[in-house]
Amino acid sequence: MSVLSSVGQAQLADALRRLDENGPAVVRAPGFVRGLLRWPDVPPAHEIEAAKLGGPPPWRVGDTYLVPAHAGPEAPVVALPYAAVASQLVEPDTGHLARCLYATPVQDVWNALGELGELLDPQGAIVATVTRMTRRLGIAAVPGADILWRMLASVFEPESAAAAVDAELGHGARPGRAYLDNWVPVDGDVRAGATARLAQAVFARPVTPVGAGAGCRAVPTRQLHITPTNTPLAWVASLVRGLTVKGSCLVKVPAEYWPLATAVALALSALGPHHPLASHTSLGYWRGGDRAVEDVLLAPDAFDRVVVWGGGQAIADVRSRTSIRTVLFEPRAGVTLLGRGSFGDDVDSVAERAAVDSLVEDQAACTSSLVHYVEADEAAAVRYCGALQRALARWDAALPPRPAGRALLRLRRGALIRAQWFVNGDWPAVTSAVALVPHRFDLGGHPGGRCVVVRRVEDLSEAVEMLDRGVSAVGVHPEQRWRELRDQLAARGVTTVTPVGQTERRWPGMPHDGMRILSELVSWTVC
Amino acid sequence: MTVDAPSREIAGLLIASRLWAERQPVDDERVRAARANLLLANHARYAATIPVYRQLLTDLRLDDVADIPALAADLLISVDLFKSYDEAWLADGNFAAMTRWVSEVSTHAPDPDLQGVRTVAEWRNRLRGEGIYLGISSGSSGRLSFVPRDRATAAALATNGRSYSPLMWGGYASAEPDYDLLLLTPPGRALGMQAVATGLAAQATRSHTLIPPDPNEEPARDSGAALTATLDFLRAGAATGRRLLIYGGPPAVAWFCTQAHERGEDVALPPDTLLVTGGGWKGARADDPASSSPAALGELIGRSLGITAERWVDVYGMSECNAYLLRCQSGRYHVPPVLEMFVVDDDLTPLSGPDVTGTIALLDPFAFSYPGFLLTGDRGRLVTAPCPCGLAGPGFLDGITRAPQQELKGCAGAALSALPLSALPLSALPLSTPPSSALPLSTPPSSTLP
Repeated sequence: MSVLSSVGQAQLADALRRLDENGPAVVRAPGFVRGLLRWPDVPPAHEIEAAKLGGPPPWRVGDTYLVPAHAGPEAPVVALPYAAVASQLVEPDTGHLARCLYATPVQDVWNALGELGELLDPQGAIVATVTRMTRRLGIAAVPGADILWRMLASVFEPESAAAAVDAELGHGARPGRAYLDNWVPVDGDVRAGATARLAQAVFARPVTPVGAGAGCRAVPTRQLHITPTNTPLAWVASLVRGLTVKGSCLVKVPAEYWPLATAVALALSALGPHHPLASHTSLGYWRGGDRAVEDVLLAPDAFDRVVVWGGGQAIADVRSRTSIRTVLFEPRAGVTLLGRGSFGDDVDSVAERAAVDSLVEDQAACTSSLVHYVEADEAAAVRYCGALQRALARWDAALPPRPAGRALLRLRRGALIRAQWFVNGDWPAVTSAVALVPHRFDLGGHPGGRCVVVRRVEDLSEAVEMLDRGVSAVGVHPEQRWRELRDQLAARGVTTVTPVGQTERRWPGMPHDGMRILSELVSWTVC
Repeated sequence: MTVDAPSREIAGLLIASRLWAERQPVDDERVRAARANLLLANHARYAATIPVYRQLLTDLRLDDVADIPALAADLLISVDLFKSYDEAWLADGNFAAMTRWVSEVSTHAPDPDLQGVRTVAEWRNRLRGEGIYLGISSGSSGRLSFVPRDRATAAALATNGRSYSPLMWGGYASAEPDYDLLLLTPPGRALGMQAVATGLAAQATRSHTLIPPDPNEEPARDSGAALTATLDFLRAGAATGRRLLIYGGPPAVAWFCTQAHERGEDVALPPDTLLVTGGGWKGARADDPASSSPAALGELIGRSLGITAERWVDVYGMSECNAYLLRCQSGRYHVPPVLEMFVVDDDLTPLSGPDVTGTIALLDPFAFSYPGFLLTGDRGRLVTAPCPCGLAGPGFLDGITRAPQQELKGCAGAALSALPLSALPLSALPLSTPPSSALPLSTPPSSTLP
């Protein structure tokens, strides 16, 4: 049965109309604040032009945030609502939360997620309207936008949310959902504390019976999600994680992903302003580090959890400014370890499997392998680089890459100028590259895209010693070496250690970055 | 200079720089031609003697580079070149490997006796014996850059500025030194600003060093006694009537001004006191506008030290370049004729026009021993309109910043793979379509976003 309210559907219909009415020069797109769409004002043209002179986008004029619709000349401007009154984004009444969202059966919340997924179906009215608008702005010409919309809808899939909750929050035979909805009685022996037992002697009365009513609950939390810019769906994923455990979520949306955010905001609005999920969810835009906004949001009692994704600077900045418990997704990277004998008769097979680990999210993911350490002599290393180059070429042919850009050029003409390069395409229009480097490589200088740095070592132990908790994932080959090295790698802080080609594998409730994330997003409370 | 470079062009550029600085007419065509001759001669030398440069030409299939636009478009080399060594070599004291690295990135082929060499300073001295003057700088990453100069290039570094710098004409650090020097940066032998400080101190009649506390140190060490000693030094100098030169980075100068002002003690500096700042604005303190804004610093030095705008010069330079840019009172860093400077876009394509913004690049005709076609790590706005100060030619406006650097990715991609979601069916992945991460729905570069 649909959970959409008539008020919500009216709000959605109005929003769709307003999006279609947008003019060609300035486009208004809404934010979402606790059940209601929030539309930006459109500043006068001369103020917009003046703001453009003030530096790179996004620009701020009053309470409006402005971004260019695309990078071309004379690009239309998209107006977004700036989170100027940050206090509106903070839940004012935890008592109400306890009676409302927190008391809502989690199955109802998951049903609402399912409803959101249906509303965001690529064939639905919301996506059709937003894509119609982006097409008018010239953005839809970006190839592959279709797949983003299809992935967006899938993120809200309720069955997976349920499976993850049951796996991550469950204990013994009890599924996780039980802990989200109720105080779960404690199995087994509950003992009185030492003081209570002393009291028996002091007061000469029997100890108060213990055990009756003792229980445990996964209490939902108020969550601030500060999300990254490097992939378009990460902020959605972070939001859905929070909603999955009945969190009251505020998500800082990267401004460049405003079309996706517009769609999600419209879908949330359709639930209606009083729906427990919608009325405690907000999507906001503000400039990272804006003290006027963030000092309010990072105040000690504003939220229960701050989830931070991003670069080292952003994470350090947030950590230094809040005492709220933080869940950090730090900048990390993956590597590959290929042991001696890996390239026997079929070097291409190994190269293809290793390439899979490097091609995850075109190296924008924290698990993507950036460096392949090969335990081999120089000739074998060169042979492997050639095989890897061929594998990447086939991938390029099937899935056209983004241009290599200046970062790869800078690498070729700077830090890795001494490398032996194996490239597909011609400089500067290289589509993918392998660089056999004669020295250590600072992962911080990696350009992403499709560039694999190969480093030859005499013994894999040399590579293992270079790894620390900044490395998230390691694919190892042959399998025997994987079994031998996984304890060492784990001890060094690596949190995903798999046979080569499998670092992307996953399952519901799988720990991430060394954490059971859903468990971090609830407050384990006993009674 | 002993380098096999066209000496007529070298002399011409130095003379032109002097004329330019004196606001006298300069034949731009001849200056350009002189620079071009030097740069193309350097290119030929690099191609013949620098292995990594030769390999780059091969990889890029650049058999014939005929003119300066081609150099600028195809052969800019990142300043990362100067730290393209293995950090482990330094950590392990493997100076043989470091020496081999020098031979790969420069025209040098050193073969020094490395017996007993344990430190960078000792290694540097051995290279000096081979005719290599190794400049060292530490960037924001903390990783050292090594710039290997031959005698000619080192001479250019030492003398180019004299052709156009009022610092020299005023008698500071020239052949007629008679000045007191207050250093707000520690002197040193190899690092950029510190090396300049050493040179200035060597010429000064009296010098005094005050090192501001590290703002990152908690709690900041007590600097009261050091400040008192500094004020005493200034008073003593003022009593003699000797000229005073103050030298340091903008944040250090801002700190000193604030401290002196808060002391409330009047120190009448000589009227021809000169303040020289350099090293960029990257050490700026967020809570102190004067450390990050030339306008705010100008106001502060006037209020606290009585130094007027015309007695303050900010210098923009880098350890890899053999000339520097001086900021005029109109807030423009003027490019002297001894340098060719421009900006490039994200694809490293040079931008032309009267007012362009991008990553700063330069062609240094005086880099005889290492590739001098350099892509810096700085971003700036280059204008060519006449400057109110009367200096001709291009200049960068206030606001030169560090170019956005690639940073390790946040854990974003794994959000999807770790999510409690079913895998996207493979059928949803249209071959011949880029994957999601390549597809921002709008395209402002992420590096400029909050």
